[in-house]
Amino acid sequence: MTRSRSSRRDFLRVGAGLVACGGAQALLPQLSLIPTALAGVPASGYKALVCLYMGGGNDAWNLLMPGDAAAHAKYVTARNGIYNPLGGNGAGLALPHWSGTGFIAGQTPPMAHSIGGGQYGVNPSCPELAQLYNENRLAFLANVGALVEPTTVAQFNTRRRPPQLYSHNDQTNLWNIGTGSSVQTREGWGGRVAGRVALTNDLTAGLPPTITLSGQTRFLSGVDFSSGVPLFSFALSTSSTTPATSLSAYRAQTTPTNPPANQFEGVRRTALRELLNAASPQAFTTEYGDIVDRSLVLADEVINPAIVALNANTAHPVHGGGSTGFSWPTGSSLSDQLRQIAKMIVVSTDPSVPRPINANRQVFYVNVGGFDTHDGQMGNIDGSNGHQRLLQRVSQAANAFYRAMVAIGKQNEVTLFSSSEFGRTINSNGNGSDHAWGSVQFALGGAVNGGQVYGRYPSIVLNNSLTGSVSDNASMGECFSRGQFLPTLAVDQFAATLAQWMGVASTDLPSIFPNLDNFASGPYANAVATPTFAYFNRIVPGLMNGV
Amino acid sequence: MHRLSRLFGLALILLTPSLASAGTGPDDIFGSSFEQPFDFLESDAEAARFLNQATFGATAGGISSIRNASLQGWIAQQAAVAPTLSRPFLEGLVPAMNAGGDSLSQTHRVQRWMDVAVTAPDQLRQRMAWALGQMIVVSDQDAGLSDEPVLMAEWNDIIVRNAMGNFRTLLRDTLRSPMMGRYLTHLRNRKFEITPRCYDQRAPLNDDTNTSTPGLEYHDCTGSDATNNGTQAVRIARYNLPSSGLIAPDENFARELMQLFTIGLIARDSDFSPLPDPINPTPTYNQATVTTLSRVLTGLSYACSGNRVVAGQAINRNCACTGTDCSFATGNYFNTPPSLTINDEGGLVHPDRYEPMICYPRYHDTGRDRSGFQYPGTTPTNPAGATIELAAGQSIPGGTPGASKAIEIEGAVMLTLAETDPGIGRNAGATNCDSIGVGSPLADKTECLSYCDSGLNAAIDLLFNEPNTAVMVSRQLIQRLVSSNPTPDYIERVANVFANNGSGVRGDLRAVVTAILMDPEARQPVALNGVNAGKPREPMLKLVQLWRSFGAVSGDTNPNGYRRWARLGAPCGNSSWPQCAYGQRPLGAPSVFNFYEPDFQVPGEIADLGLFSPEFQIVNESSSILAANDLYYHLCIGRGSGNNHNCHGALRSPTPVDSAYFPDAQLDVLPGGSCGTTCSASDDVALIDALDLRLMAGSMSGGVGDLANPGNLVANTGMRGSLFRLLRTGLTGTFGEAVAQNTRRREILYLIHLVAISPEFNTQR
Repeated sequence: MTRSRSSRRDFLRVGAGLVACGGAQALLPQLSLIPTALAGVPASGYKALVCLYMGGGNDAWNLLMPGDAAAHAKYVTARNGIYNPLGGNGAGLALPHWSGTGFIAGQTPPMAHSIGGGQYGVNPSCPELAQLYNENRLAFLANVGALVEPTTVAQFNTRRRPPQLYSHNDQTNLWNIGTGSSVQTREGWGGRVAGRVALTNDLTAGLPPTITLSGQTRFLSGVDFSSGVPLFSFALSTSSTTPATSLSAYRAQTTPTNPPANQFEGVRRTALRELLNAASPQAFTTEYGDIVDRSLVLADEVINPAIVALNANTAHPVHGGGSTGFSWPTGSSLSDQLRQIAKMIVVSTDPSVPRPINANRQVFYVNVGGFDTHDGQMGNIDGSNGHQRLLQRVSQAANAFYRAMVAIGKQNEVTLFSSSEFGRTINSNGNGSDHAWGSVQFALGGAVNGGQVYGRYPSIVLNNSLTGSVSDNASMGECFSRGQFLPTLAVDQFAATLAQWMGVASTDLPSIFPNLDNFASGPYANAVATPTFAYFNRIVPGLMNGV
Repeated sequence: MHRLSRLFGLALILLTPSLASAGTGPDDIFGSSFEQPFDFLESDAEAARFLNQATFGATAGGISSIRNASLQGWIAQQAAVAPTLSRPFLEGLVPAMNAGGDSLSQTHRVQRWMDVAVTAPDQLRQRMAWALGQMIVVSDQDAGLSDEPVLMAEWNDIIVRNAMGNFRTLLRDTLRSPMMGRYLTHLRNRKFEITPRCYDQRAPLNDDTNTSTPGLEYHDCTGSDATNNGTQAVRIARYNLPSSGLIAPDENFARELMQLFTIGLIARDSDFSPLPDPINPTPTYNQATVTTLSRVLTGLSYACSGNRVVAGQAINRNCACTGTDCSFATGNYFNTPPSLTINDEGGLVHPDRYEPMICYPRYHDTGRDRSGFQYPGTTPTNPAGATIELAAGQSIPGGTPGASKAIEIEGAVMLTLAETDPGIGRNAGATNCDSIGVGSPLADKTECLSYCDSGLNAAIDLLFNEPNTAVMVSRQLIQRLVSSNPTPDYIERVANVFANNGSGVRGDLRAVVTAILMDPEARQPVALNGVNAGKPREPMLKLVQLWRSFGAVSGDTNPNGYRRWARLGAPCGNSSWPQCAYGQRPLGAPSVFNFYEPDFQVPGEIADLGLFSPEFQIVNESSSILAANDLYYHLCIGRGSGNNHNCHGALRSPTPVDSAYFPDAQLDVLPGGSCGTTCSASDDVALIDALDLRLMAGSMSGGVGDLANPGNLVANTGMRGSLFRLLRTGLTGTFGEAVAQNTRRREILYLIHLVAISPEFNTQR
């Protein structure tokens, strides 16, 4: 029985055999089999997106806070006061003002970092993010979230809105899909973008353009636009020596970095290969075989040899130290993952490694969990838990990653962005916050026009409504009774901006983000009907260089 | 059969007392008139298939004994076996462990789980518990539970005790469990409150608690408020709405109780199809439902039972109350039951820390705030002696909950809980459930406590009786035991048994698991099911199955009966095993969404076919190889030399004492297993058949038709042909072992490993 996946597997194997006689170019005849009319245009040069996903729903209203004194006072009020357990307010979720009056000396939390000339404050555990903002390399996006079309509180029940608001897994899917309409869509926008602009994996030593450090994610699911072949995402571990996990006891003689203990290992590897190659009508059986098969090939023949060589080159700037002026945080899983990505970027673009990957576009995914802070959100600021500790890890790891990109000269070609399924309620549940909707995200890189907050940062006031009893500058953002903000910027717009930067033509954006024009040219795209919406545009204007 | 209309469902809820009180079903569920076509297993392969669904792995003894019994008889026997528990066992270890300088940890609990899974007699119950524990998730990966091995063990035991009981009881125990209370944060969940601010008539204090009205200073109306100090009567109460004390109930448990543990997100027919149609399904609940239910789920905290003795150790707790009065000794609400250290080592905790939580009416939502202030909708009743003054320009926000709690499901109000305030009518304004104390009139105490308990029960009853719950629970249990993609008819048959076990009892889990395992789709020949029937095996259960099916033993000689199975350390580290190798850990999911979700679809062919493949969510290029390496490590422990535990060496003497290993005799006894270096082609076929039977229930592909010519690809086909060729041509060859049989043992272990990491074994059919 012949199946398309078998031929994909053959691609890998053919590629492995042809290394000696010219590598990728030898495979170009395969590409010629594809009708020209359907062939995509692989983008030139190199670019990469890194999705930093904060699992659980990041309370980003405490990542970027109002800095204006009056606005901050409202924020304090709405968040049940400044967290001050010694002073009798253990329920409060607010952080102190970055400066000025209203600050009570001796409070547990330190002050925020001023950015934007004091208009905003960044969480005191994130000085690196504040620094990057002030260097114009980091931009915040205010009140971004899943939407189908622009919506206000008054229109909540009449306009189309995303299904299963406030549900972790469903909203995660919407962020990954880049559309607010159906949680059932199987392809993620990261995978779709890669399928549009990346070289197919038979041209990149078998390595797909979609790489995950945190297991399965819908974000990276896609289809190669030219061939219609599904893209799989390759899973890397955080092992510093062998990022692609290598099968012990089945090592081939030809594996230089992982030699076998005896000749029988090779015999067993041949046996395993025979089992993996056998076609099965059962889809689960086939899938498992495919996963193991490509892991064996890519780990032992492509990735690990290249990474081992890179690790041996201790002076390489990607490792930090020395004249690079940065170092990778230790004891941080997120940092380990981003460090692995940095190394993969080096070897993916280095034509001198034994099996050059020669990638033109890559999309990476890392996940850091723990943000579902229903409980103990403000506690343990200096301990191992609590929201601020989580933010600290994000800030330090993202900073190291950016500095590493500078060190290897890739900072203008690599953009890191944050995402998280939803924001959280403004008011407290006693010692934490609950699921909400719109939130704050950031983008980081040399191609980001940073030092700005894009979108509309709302007044942090509960139950804010244009038509209700509270109307505190509501045109900047409305929310429900616990401060669940209706997004004024769609995930689609944020994602489309990054997609266009990766090389997707503006005209092709709606094929990846089907709702996109609801925010640009649809019936609600006028400021009178929807005064709270930030941009009536397919993208976030000005966020990315050249977009 | 299509499910009852919403209107009919409403009537059912209002008019019918809880069906759950009928308890577990009687033994005569399947009377003589009830035809059971699959009651007797026709072959060893069918027996192995059944056992691989219903237990942690088929054994030679298990196959022969179940062929001598009817399936119903076996299930009845399993249900009658006393539950094998973990918490009392672990508690019993602690005093000696502490004396020896060790604390109890989650590692001990995980090793205990492995021991139970491999060796316990109540296999069906344990396998069901493992399935239920993946649906109602509490995880030791939670920072607040990672240091609580006894609590996690008790959570295990809660599921084990209920696994063959009634789902309603499991829901009640879940609601009341402090472990769930800590995991989904409804422990000490408090009602919405407006904290009164008292006007101090003396000189203002220099603070900023009220910045909106300079010159007037307000303070908490507590006895310890130094600015009030009891010298001034509370003259003005001021409410800084909507802030500073407006605390909303935590919605975490309310949401997941509905989304994951009971009704799910959308209305479904009893065959799992969305209602009214797949394009526009009706949501089961909305944010208002979550908010309202979270108000009901308030007021629970640890019980207070006084001094206790655990494992011979006294653990004292001063409760200053007895019986139901403890619900009114509100200081206990914030008091965490103590732990005990012996020799500076920990492990034992006061049982209040894991026994069912109790209601504290002071913090349960009664429709009124603590000062007696009533929510909008009726005339506010002010606290005695105080005047309500709202800050200028502020009003009670529109989102403030009303006096009564109405829970809507699928757009219909299914449960309404009116406010309560026992003080009204007897002693107006003087008492309510907030200010009530141990010394209050018994009638008031009874009313407040009953209001809380009955509200919680009503909420659980509502969700338990929802038609969706039957289909959601049934489908997930089928997915864990038999098939990732059961047909709609299969789901409906099981859901109907969940709804009614034949004797009018809803939620009888023993009847449900019987229906799952005796369904045609579980029992009929694989060829009669669709080609993609079955499920991907759970990665961690592959190891458990190898241990169990091939007679591994723990070499532990620890006299207290504690046995270690996994050797921690290589290849993936101590505390992170087994999740680092398998992406799974007993009661250690990364989130309440389990290791994987029931609707996960791998992109590509599986998704294109519309198949669900939950387990593949944790199988990827990295994890599949990590698992393969760990399987190799644990197959070979005790063999090889030095720190290399590999299979190309004889079993050492003495055998390992700190981990499981595969004794030589268990390998020798396999068909074709004792032929040393002189194994015939028939021996090799017999060995392949034995592995096929035990591990894959005879589903291995291909056949061996030419014993003399292994390379005959026409006669020797499929996986059987591949394995045969490898054995004949030297899967491992000989290292010239001094004992010839060691060559065969090595070949057996290698062959087991190759099967265990093969694509075909990954699918349980």
